Parts: sequence; C-alpha cells; structure tokens
Amino acid sequence: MILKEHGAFITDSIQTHSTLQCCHCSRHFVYLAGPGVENPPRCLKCDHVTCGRWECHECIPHEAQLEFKEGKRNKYEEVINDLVRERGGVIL
Amino acid sequence: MGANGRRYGFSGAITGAATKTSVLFAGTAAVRPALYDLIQSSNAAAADNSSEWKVLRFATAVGTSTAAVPVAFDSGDPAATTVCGTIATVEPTTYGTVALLDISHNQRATVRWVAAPGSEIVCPASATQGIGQQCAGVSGSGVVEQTSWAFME
Repeated sequence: MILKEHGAFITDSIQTHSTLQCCHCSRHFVYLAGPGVENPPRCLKCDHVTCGRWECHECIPHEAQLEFKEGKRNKYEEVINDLVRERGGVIL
Repeated sequence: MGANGRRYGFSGAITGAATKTSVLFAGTAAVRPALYDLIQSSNAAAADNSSEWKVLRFATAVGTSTAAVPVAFDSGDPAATTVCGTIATVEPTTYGTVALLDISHNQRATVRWVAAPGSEIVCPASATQGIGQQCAGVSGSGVVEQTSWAFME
C-alpha cells in the first residue's frame, strides 16, 4: 500500500523519515514498514491512519476533540467524557 | 485557521535539560494556531551530545515564559494573535504524556520537521491550551539549542 506522507523529518538537508498523523490525536509518528507490519493501524470506522494507542481506538475525529476542548458540544461528547474519566481528568 | 492562514515564525534558545520548555504557544478564543514547521539545531562548539525533545499539548495553563513576538511571513499581515513564549520559568500545565512529535538528535545535526498541507498540529481556540516543546533529557552535556517554529492561524 502506498501511503501519502503527512510530514517529513529532514536532517542536514536530507529527508530521513516520513511521518504519518493519527486522525484521532493528531500525533505525528515515524512509520517504518517491515515484515509483519506492512500497514499502519487504521480506524475501523473512518478508515484513516491512527497511532495505534488504545486511547485512539475509539473513533473520535480530532476536530471533535478540538471542539470539545473549546467547550462546544458535539455528538462525540459522551464518548470523550468516558475517555476523560479513564485518563484521569483531561483530554490531550 | 483557514486553508490559507496567516503564517508567522518565532524562535527560542535554551540549554537542554530535562523538563525544560524551550518554546510554546497557546491559542486565543479567536484563533486556532497550527504548527507546520520546526527546526532544531545547536550553535554550541561541536561535540557529541544528544538530547530528546517532545512537542506536547498542555491543557490547563501556559505557565510563565519570556514573551516572543512572532514575525509575519507576509509583511502585509497584522500581528499574530497567538500567544508565543520561550524559555519557560514556570512550566505549562498539564502536559500530556503522548508526544505529538518526538525528536532525538546529536547536537551536530540540524533537524527539521515539516507538515504536509492539512496535517499541521492544530491547537484549540483557547487561551489556556496549546503546545510546547520540552526537553525530555540529554545525554552528555546539555548545550544551548535553538528551536524555530513556523505556524499559521
């Protein structure tokens, strides 16, 4: 599978790594494909790349998380509140 | 942040030491700043020291830092609304544990990270929430490191 990179690390003027961005937490991570790990984790619901952490298994788009942090209500509010309780108070 | 948001840049320098924040910014109720370019380098005398830096979200307070005035890349743009700071004397709270970016480098190497359009690291429109670049640790001696951020709002 050919993935479009979401970012790049450039060391001493040479691109050394590509990064992918988690569609849920917006984290950028270096993805190195290899035997047994041909494809990065994907959300089963929205089919975008995730970072694979358990907190990001639930499909909560990053935009919805931003709105939640800004105090705006959205349809993910209940799920986010559950996650906040599990994480101990804040969503980051 | 619009698709063609106004672009700004600022930089800061700090001697690398664990849990010290070199640069940070926070949004306001009016803007969502988005980091799209980062350059990490050192001007110290060449030596083999390495350090790890993490870009982390904070959710409660920006702490205390030296105010930085971002420069608009388009001279026709107004001053940035985003609140930027360098060299935190009181660390922002509460930093997340998951790094949005994790950079380890030898001081001899200049590292740049750049986001593809649409994949920037976006912060909420809130004055108490944003992102900071914190040193996770050094190996060898801590040396002065320069960090430059480019963001749009």
